[in-house]
Parts: sequence; C-alpha cells; structure tokens
Amino acid sequence: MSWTCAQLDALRDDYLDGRLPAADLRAADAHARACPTCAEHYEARLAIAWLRTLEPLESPPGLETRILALTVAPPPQESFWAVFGQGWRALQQPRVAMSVAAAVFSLVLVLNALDVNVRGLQAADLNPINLYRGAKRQAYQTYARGARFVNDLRLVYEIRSRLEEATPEGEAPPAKKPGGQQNPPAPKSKRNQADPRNGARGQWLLAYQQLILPGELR
Amino acid sequence: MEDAELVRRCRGGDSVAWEGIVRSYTRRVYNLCYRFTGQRQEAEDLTQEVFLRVFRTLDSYDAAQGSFGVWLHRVGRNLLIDYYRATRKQRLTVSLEDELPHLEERPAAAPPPDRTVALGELSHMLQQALTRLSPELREAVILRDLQGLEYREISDVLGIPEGTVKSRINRGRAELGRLLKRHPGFEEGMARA
Repeated sequence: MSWTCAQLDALRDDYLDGRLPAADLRAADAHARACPTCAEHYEARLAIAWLRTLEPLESPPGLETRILALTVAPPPQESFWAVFGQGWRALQQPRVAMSVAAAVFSLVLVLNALDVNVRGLQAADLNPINLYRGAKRQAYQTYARGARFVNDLRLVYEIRSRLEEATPEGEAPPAKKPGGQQNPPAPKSKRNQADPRNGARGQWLLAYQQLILPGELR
Repeated sequence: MEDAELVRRCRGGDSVAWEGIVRSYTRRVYNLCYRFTGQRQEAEDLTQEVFLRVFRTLDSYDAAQGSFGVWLHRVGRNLLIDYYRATRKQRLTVSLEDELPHLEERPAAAPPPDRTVALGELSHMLQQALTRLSPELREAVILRDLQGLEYREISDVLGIPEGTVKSRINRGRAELGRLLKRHPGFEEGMARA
C-alpha cells in the first residue's frame, strides 16, 4: 500500500524515529523519496540514519582518573612545623615589615584623630559613640587653634599698621636690632603734634613697641 | 547498583560510590560535549567541569524530579550553553574549517581500511554539519539521535515543553538533511544504518 502526504505528516515523528513497522517504513520511504512535498522528511530520515552510524567515542585515557583526583583526592597533609616555618619565612621579608610599619602608622594617625589614648586604652574607648565624641572634640580644638592663630595675626598686623601711622613721613621706621635691644623713641611728627589724640596713641604704641615688639616682631 | 543508591551513598561521603558514578557516565558526558563543541580538548575540559559541578551540587539532586542521568545531562547542557555564549565572539572570527580540525573515531569492529577511511570522512562531515546547526537545534538533535534520550527526558533536560522539543528536533533534522544531501553517497547512509 502506498502512503499519502497526509499519512506521512500524521506519523512524521514515528517515521523519523523509525518506530513504524518495517513494511510501513518501506512504504513511507518510497512515498517520501518520490514526493517533492515530502522530500524534506526523506532527507531528515537519511540524516538521522547517518547520525546513528556514529559510534560513541571512547573517553580520553586518564580522564576518569583526573576527574576523581579533582573531586575526591584528599588534600596534602603538612606538619605543623612545616606550616609554621613557611609562615615565619614569609614574615622575614622586608616588605612585610614595611607593610606592618605603614599599618601601625596609619592606625596611630586614625586613633590620634579620634582622640584615643593608646597607652591607657580601655574597652570603652573603642565604643563608636566615644570615638565619635573624640573626633568631634579634636575637630573643635583644631578649629579653635586655627581661629586663635588668625586673631593673633590680625592683632599683630593692626599694631604694625598703627606703628606705621605713628612714624613721621619721610622717616624710616625705627630699625630693629637683633638681640632684643630697645630702639630709641622716634621723634614726633608735625601731624602727630597737631592731633593730640593721635599723638597720645602714637606714644602709647611706641612704648608698646619698645617694650614688646623688638623681641616678638622681628 | 542503581543510580539512586549510588547518589545516596555519595552524599554520605562514600568515595567508592562516586567513583562508580564517574566511571559509568564519563563516556556519555564526553560524547555529549564532543558532539556539541566538535573539539576534543574542549570536550575533555567541559567533561571535567561537568563532574566537578555535579560533585559540588549533588545535594541539590532530587530523585523525585527525574532520573540521575537526566539531571546529569541537564548540568552538562547548561555548561555547554555557557561555553557557547562565552566563545561566541571567538567563533565569529574563526572559520568553520579552522574550528573543526579532524575527527578520528573508528567503529568498534575494525573494518577494512578503505571503509575505515570512508567512515572517518563521514564522521567528519556529520560533525561539521552538526556544528553548523544553531545551539537550540543542535542540542535537541544530539540528545535525541546520539544520546538516545526520550522526548520526555529531553523536555526535562532543556526545561521546555515536549511539543517544543519535538519541533526543535524536527527542525534540526530537516536542517541536517539539507546540509548533508549534496554529499555523494548520502542515500547510502540508509543502507549502512
């Protein structure tokens, strides 16, 4: 009995898998080979037939052994002293000492910034809230020191500017001698004489300069 | 001993049971990898990788979900797809001829030399054609026609419905037929099979 396209389509999987009775397979082959519509099925059947001629390959020699070695082989056992010796030799490297020194230095810097006293270290010092407070205190102290320094600078510059005002025009300001020697008072200028208020301030500043500045402003 | 029993003993730390699994399945996994990649060294490395992964994840195998063989194929297939994705760029720049150097397998019973040569050429050509299939079609055809899995098992391995499995296998077979039909002696294959 010859097959039709509809029959072949309906039983395509069984045909391609070769699961039909031998007589049906032969009839289906005959139809598929001659029918242009079913030629694709016939080519597929030939391809499968070829594929199934391939013998399974043998696995490469030693592959199983390698797999077993990778999975169940026990790790090599080393004695305690061998491990200790390796660690000690590693510690003797100069770079290890440098790294440790750098780490200690960094730690000291950080602890200092956090206002932690390393010598009298207590467990409470490492409490995060205490670290935070220490860091805050350090920040305020640093700010206060900076502010004080700026204010001092302002005072000094103000005194210098006043001194320059008190110095007569065309006359050099009093030379400062090394060793903290006192300078003779500068002669009063005409302008200072004309203005008793300026003159008094100039006198006071000159006295201040003679007493304090030669040692401080040089 | 059945696979389920071997797996149970492996989980208990029995290295002899694990060795039994490795010896039973190495050849099958190697063939799966070789047919997919077409390269012996890659197949060998991938086979090792499959067993390493199986060894590490053996606790996740659930016998209620299917046979151990199907689970093993699933692990292998996932690794092959990872391999395919990882080497996609490389393959784009390498010609097919360079990528598939040679096949040297021989049939079990030693045939006469002229037939051996013919079968060697045939294997080479079949492997080339397989490697030209898209990975989805290739894995489906390999699992069905070379590894001999049932449709239901392939559905479990690939994690797709059985209808999709059949569709992919049919498309893969048809594509393979188109690639092979120009080869002289194509129709003789039926007689050999």
